[in-house]
Amino acid sequence: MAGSAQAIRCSNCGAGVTIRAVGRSVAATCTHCKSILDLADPNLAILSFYKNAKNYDFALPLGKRGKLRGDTWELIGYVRRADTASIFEWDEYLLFNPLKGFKWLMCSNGHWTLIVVTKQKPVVVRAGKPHASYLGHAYDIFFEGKAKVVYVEGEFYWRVAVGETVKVQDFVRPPEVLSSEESDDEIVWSIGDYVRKDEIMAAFGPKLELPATSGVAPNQPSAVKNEWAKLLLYAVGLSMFLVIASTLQQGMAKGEEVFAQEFVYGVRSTDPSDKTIVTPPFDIKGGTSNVEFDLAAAELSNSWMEMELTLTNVETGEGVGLQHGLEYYSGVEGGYSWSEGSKTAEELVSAVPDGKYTLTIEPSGPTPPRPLRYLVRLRRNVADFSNLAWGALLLWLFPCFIAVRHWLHEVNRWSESDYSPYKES
Amino acid sequence: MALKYLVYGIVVCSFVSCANHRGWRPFNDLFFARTWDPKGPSGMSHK
Repeated sequence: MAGSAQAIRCSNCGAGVTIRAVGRSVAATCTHCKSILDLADPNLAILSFYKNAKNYDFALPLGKRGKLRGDTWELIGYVRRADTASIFEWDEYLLFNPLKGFKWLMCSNGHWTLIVVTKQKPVVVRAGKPHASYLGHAYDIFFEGKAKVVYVEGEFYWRVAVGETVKVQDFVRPPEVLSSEESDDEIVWSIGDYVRKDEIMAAFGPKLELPATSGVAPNQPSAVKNEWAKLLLYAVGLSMFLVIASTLQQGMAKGEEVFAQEFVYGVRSTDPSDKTIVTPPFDIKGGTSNVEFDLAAAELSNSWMEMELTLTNVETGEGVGLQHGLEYYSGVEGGYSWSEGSKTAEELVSAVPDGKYTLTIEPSGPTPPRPLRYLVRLRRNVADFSNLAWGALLLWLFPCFIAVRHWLHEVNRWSESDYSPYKES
Repeated sequence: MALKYLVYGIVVCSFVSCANHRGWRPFNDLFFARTWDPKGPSGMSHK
């Protein structure tokens, strides 16, 4: 970029003022006395004095050059503006390139947007929820209000003045924001594109102390929005695969019976060891598989019983134990019969290897009026869809997390807008 | 991110298929603690 700066003297205090966009800028501030000089006037008439104006710190120094989005830009002006209806303020930096002209770099709540004046005039649709249409895209209304210039420094392509107020409308379609600024004389439309902080650092210097980012900018794109469709596609595809594969696998489960015997509970005995039953050894073979314990007490009535069952490999001594209760109550009340509980139960244990096993049964419960017969049956390789359920849960946890994150991002993005679709009307 | 998720999903599906094949219920066993006890059932010896 050609360095065509020109030095002039402030017509108020005589301090030197550097003009960087010679022939393009029409107003410049004196760095010493802060007067605004009319560059179009050969005598550099003073447009306004604001000697006592408060000095603002801004993150990017005037005169700084940087390559942003493929072009080299020089920072030549700085404007601080404020929403007239609140105390909210933001910074706007004027960028200049002799070949590309002017662009604006806006910093609001630590979020950066690169802004350029539109080549075509967007169309605002007022019917229903107002929106703007530009180059075939619809932009949602986000903000309507007035913005006032509270501080300027540098040079500008119009006769800038502190206190200058314009009507502002912002329409968003992340990462873009379409804005109109309406003064008494004209309406200027501009379009901005969200710029990540690291891009600003890369363009203007990694050692810059940029303002901390807070909240979500109106045009800040959701980090996951572009990936969401692909993520959903993968989640659906993987889930279908999981369902089909699991169904095929479980469809082949034979549910072979490896043990079944009927026992009797309630034979009166004073020796507790009589209540513990150890079955003769039986074989479980056919490969490691799950084993289902089926318990049934068809004669159980208005009572309960509990069973501790232990399946022990007689060769290794390894075993698995489980405890399960059966309870069944029924009656007639007000002419209606009722029942609760169940006379049967199933429990599944996983990955039982081949071997010779015994089953130890310890029944307990109230002594029944007459001996109670109950059936214990073991089946191996039974259909079990619990892994499918857990697998589906694991598959959908991440997409759900991303969906919630995206939703929160959108809620936060719209939280500062009067037009939020997430606010109750 | 989507590609990483795809890899993660393939691992999950493979793991579930493998567990189904072995009659293993890793998630139920993890949360409901019904696992084989190498010392045998407490207080009993069936050898």
